[in-house]
Amino acid sequence: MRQAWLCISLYVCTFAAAALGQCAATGPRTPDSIGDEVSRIYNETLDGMRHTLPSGVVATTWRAPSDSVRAQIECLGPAAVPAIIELLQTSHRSFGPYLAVRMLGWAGGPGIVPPLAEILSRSGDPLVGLKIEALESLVSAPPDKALPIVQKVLRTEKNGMLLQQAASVEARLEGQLQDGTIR
Amino acid sequence: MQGVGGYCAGQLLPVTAPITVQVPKYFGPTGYDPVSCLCDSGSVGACIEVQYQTLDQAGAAMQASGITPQELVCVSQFDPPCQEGYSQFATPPTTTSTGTFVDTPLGTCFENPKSNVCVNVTQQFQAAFGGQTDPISTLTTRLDCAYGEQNQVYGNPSGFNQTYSYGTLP
Repeated sequence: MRQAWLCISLYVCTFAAAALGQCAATGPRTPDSIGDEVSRIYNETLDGMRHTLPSGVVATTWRAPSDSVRAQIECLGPAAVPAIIELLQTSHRSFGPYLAVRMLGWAGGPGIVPPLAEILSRSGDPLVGLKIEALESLVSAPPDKALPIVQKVLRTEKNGMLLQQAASVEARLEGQLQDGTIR
Repeated sequence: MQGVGGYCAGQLLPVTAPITVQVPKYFGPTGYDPVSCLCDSGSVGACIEVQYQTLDQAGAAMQASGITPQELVCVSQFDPPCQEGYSQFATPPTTTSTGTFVDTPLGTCFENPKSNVCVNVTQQFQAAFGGQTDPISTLTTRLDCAYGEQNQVYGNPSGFNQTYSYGTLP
């Protein structure tokens, strides 16, 4: 019996330490240190997609960020949002806006609503891909703040894919509102 | 007198219909649209998004939410060509109630290309569902170029293999 408890304790402690270790890498939680950590994760992720071809041309192919990248941003949570917004506004790297919008969704919280709403208010079909991602990231915002943005898209958007995505996100946010499962 | 499984000898055994468990086996493409790669200034690229329906082992649509599609992307001209492992990539991250998801963006940005340069990209898939991971037979080969893209989806039942082209290919 005592051995069983020891095993369970070791198991729990190992996983707790691993989880803390992911966030502990940021050191003291000052806005600057969190900003540095977010910037490092963002740039390392995009660097991993960028290669020099044998011809000498530099190419960047979008590849989904690894699960550990997502876990690191989830671990930082809403505290990471200001730094991600700054990257969204100032970084001009290829595929950078896609990564930043996904990172906002992983971080979550009410602070992600204004930048995502701004993206969704832009006009132009070429932005459909980014708007699909922006809608998806809104699922991680408080539903009472995200729903009006999604419902505005449903009223004003003409693109079929975006309307489909907005309807899916609206259903999930309404489900969260009913369940009280707000992140 | 004791017969089979507690039933008496001579008594008819109940007959039950075989139960078929649906397992995700294919990702069937249902459409595509061009999207912006959002390349940095000085770079050029062509990107698309592809819509998929999850199919079971018989090629029938799975109306199931909660399946997590995962991909392994390789670019033959990169060193190393492949990612370290599978990553979840879909939007939404798990399938909708009708078993659908979107893959976006698909493409490559090229910095200051002198011509319509291209790279060869492959995607392999798997699906995580209910605590287990199932291999997906669907494969894609892409030709990502500065001014166009071709995406061939194959390995699916007939009717679900598609080739999507966009822009100018060499």
